[in-house]
Amino acid sequence: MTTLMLLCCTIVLNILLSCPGASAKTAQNNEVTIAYQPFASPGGIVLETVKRDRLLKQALSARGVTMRFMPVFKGSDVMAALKKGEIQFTTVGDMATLEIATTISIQVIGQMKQNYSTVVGLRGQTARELKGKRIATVFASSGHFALLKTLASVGLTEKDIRLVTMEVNEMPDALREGRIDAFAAWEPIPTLAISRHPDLFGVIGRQASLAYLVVLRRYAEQEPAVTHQLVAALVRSMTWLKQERNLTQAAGWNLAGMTALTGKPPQTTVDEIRRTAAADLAAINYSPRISKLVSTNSASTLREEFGFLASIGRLPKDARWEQVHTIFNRNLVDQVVRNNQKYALKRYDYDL
Amino acid sequence: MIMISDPATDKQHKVSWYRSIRLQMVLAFSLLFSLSLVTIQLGLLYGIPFTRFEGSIRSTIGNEFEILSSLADSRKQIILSWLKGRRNNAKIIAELPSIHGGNFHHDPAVRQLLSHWLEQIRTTYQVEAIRILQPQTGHPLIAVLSPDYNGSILSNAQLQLAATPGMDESIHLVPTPDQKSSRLHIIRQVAQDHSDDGSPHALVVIECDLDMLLKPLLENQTEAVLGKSGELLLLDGERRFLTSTRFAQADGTPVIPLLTVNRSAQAELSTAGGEGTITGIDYHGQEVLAAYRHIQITPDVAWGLSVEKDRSEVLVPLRHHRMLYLVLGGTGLFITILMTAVISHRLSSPLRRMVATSRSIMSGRLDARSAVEGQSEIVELARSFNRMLDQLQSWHDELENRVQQRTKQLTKANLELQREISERIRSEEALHDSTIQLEEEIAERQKMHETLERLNTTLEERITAAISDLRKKDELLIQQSRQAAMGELLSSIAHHWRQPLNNISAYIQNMLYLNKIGELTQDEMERDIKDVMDILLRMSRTIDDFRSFFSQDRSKLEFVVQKTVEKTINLLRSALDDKNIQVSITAQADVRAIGYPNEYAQALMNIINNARDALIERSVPQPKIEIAIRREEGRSVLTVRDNGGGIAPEIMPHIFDPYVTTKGPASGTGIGLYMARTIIEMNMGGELSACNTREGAEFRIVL
Repeated sequence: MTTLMLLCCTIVLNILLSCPGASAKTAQNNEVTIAYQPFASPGGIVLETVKRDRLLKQALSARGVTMRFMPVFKGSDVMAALKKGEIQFTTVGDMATLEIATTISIQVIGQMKQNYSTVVGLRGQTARELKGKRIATVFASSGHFALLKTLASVGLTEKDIRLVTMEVNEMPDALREGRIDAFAAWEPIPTLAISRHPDLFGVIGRQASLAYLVVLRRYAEQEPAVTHQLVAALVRSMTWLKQERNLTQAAGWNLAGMTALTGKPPQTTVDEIRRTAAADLAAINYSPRISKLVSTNSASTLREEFGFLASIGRLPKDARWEQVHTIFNRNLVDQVVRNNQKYALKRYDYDL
Repeated sequence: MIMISDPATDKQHKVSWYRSIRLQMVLAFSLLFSLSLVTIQLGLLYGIPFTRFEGSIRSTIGNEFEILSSLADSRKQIILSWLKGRRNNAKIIAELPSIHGGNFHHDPAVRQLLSHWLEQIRTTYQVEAIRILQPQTGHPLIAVLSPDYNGSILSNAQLQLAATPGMDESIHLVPTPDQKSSRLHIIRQVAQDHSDDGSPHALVVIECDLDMLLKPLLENQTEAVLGKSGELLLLDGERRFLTSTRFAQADGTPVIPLLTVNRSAQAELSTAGGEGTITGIDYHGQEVLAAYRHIQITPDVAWGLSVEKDRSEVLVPLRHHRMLYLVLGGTGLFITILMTAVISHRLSSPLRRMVATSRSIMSGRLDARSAVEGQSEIVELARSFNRMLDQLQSWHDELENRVQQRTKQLTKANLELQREISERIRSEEALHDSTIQLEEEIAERQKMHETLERLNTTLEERITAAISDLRKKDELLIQQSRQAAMGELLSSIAHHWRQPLNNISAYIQNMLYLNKIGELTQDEMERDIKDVMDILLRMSRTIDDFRSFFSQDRSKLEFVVQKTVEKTINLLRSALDDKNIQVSITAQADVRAIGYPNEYAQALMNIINNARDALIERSVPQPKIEIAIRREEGRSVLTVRDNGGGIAPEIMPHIFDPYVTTKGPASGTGIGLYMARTIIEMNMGGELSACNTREGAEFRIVL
């Protein structure tokens, strides 16, 4: 009798533990940190949504894991913490991904954006006219790379301009006030700046720019379930954000996140954030699948970016291009999508 | 042509036409105009360096880039919008309940209705075909095709990809069978969310010929912008052309969609994710202005769009402007030349009149004047020129008068001069004669001169011989004088010694007497002996003095004058004492001289002897001789003064001549003072002089 009862309890427990959001193994009671950039689009709005995903919280707490979300200004700000293992997941742009990949063993598990970094100048200004001008950018960022590509298209180099480093949210005001002559930044800053001053600002050049969700490889290997749950939350949130009212809601969360990070309200509106995010999410088809266009062959844009970072000394001297080949895990999203029941991809429960 | 006379050569010079002021003005202003025109033209075309003015070429290109960029942006939106429409069409079809639910599989009526509906969609949106396929095999379940559809089949790989779970939608490109275009396949999964593994139940495929559907949309109303050379190029991710092109490639081969690769810079940049503007070489080898855009169709599919136009066509309006500028410039130059010629003619006519006036004056018409009218600087110059001519004329007239007067004076003077000349000619002739005489005389005198020179030479030899004789005689005289002095001195010494010898005799006799009587004491004997020795010593010194006195000095040396004087006095002491002549010596300390001391002593002895003789001869009651030695201006001065009454005035000038004596022939040779002078002045370079004092004579030796 007693044996039978024990057996039944075990079966029930197993059934309960195999519910979506719970793992067969009981995880240790620990915290996992995700760094993200509120000022990035659509990464900021997506992660603000994921942050409020109750299904994710439940799934993780069943494994004894709590999640902490850490807003940062830019991807390269998290390198030190990643190296120490204080952060396990982070959203980063393609340039920062390459920097991190050459010093820390990481895995790219999802794509957050596929839009452009833009060189913005005064309306009517051409790339050739940038010679000798003061141009603001974040050093070693996708904006910096976009600037160099734009200059190269007209036979100029970085030596032909005066580079000014400043935070990305300060650039539109600096351009308007004449403290700089142009700036290069990632979305949504350029689109917001141009939409706000369409008669003043214009696009001089653009370069495709991607962003990813990355994880420490050893953590992914130790905690594959947590990794899968986070990817599922990502898929879920992107699908949920297809609805305009949901996108508007999330845009409000994003604005609050920006304010909390800087301590002052940003010069944007919920509507602007929403419109930008809608375009950016549509560009990736509302899916975090890693684009096939992300190629690691020798002629790819990623290779070019690697070469650029090496030339400006942002990579270790012994950094090898071959290190980049293995960081993309294209199967993870497919695995999650194929198990939509297991990962409750069609259910939505957010802290509104 | 202007003729100018050169006063120096009296020749006339021609001023070349190309050096005239008129032509120079025309050339200068024409050049200025041309340079200005060229500078302005270049500035307008190429801009002004270091300023914001960029010139019309850059401005035109900049404007064209803006237009092409604007067109590229709008066409990108059209592409995205059109694609969005077709994708929406596929989505709507896929989500249609009867399709989504799969009802049409088994119900022909439903299938027919669906076909009809799909056909309407097809014709509305002018797509090539709409099909619903079996995902595993690709077998069409429903298909509506355009009448001239020539078929293009998806590959198995493409089908497999399209049916991959999670791949809700995929886009593929397939070349048309005639290879003149590419066909876009938009594939949408049906009912994938209803399967456990996410795999679709069917696939909706919409096929669109890009050349027939998209290209007209893109090129609509672009003729004005693109002109004859511009076009829009659409490329896939591998830079293959997606639509047909306006031109063949640079090598003449046609462009085949989905086969030919565009290797231009703008193609590479646009497909690599870049957007911007560039000047580059296009697929047909022309330099183009291009605005390129990256079109993200799906996360896995991206196209490149390039809106291009030949640079040469863009700059065609500037070429037209350039021709216009040339024509206007040429006209302006012609007008400038004409006006400059007219103005320069007007400006230079006063100058020409002045030149003509100058010519008239040079030809002798001094009353010629330039006609002037107006108020310009050149007219003022002409007026000044006229005033100057008036002034010159008045000076000229005055000069003429003076010249005439002067001519008269000169004529008169000339006549006088001629008279004088004639006289002078005569004088010259006389002079000539006397010159001849003079020359003869000169020749004679020359001969006499030569004779005289010969005589002088012999005379010199004779004089030298005579001087040598005289020297020998002088030496002889000196010798004689020395001997005479020696004799005197010996006599003096003999006389001097008589008394001491008597004294010695007296001492010896006294000692003998005392010894004889036995009263000679030791002390007395020693005292007497000492006295005798002193006397002998003095006598010995006299011998030494005598000997040294007459020894000849070999070379000049420095000696103390006082010692020489004392030595001399010692030798003459007895002779002087005998005649009660007082001799006093007053001397400064350490007065020295350079010379021959013994000869100096001999000269002094002669002088003292003369003084003694004079004192004895004139029986002077208290005869004295005072000798003083001092230093004056670095030289020793010895004076010997006596009170013998002085030297007779008639003898004084000859006192030092030889053979001059006041004593009789038996008393003196008359060469003592002569010898003294010879010794002091000729041998030692000193001075010996004599003068009379109140009491007597004074002799002065300076050495």
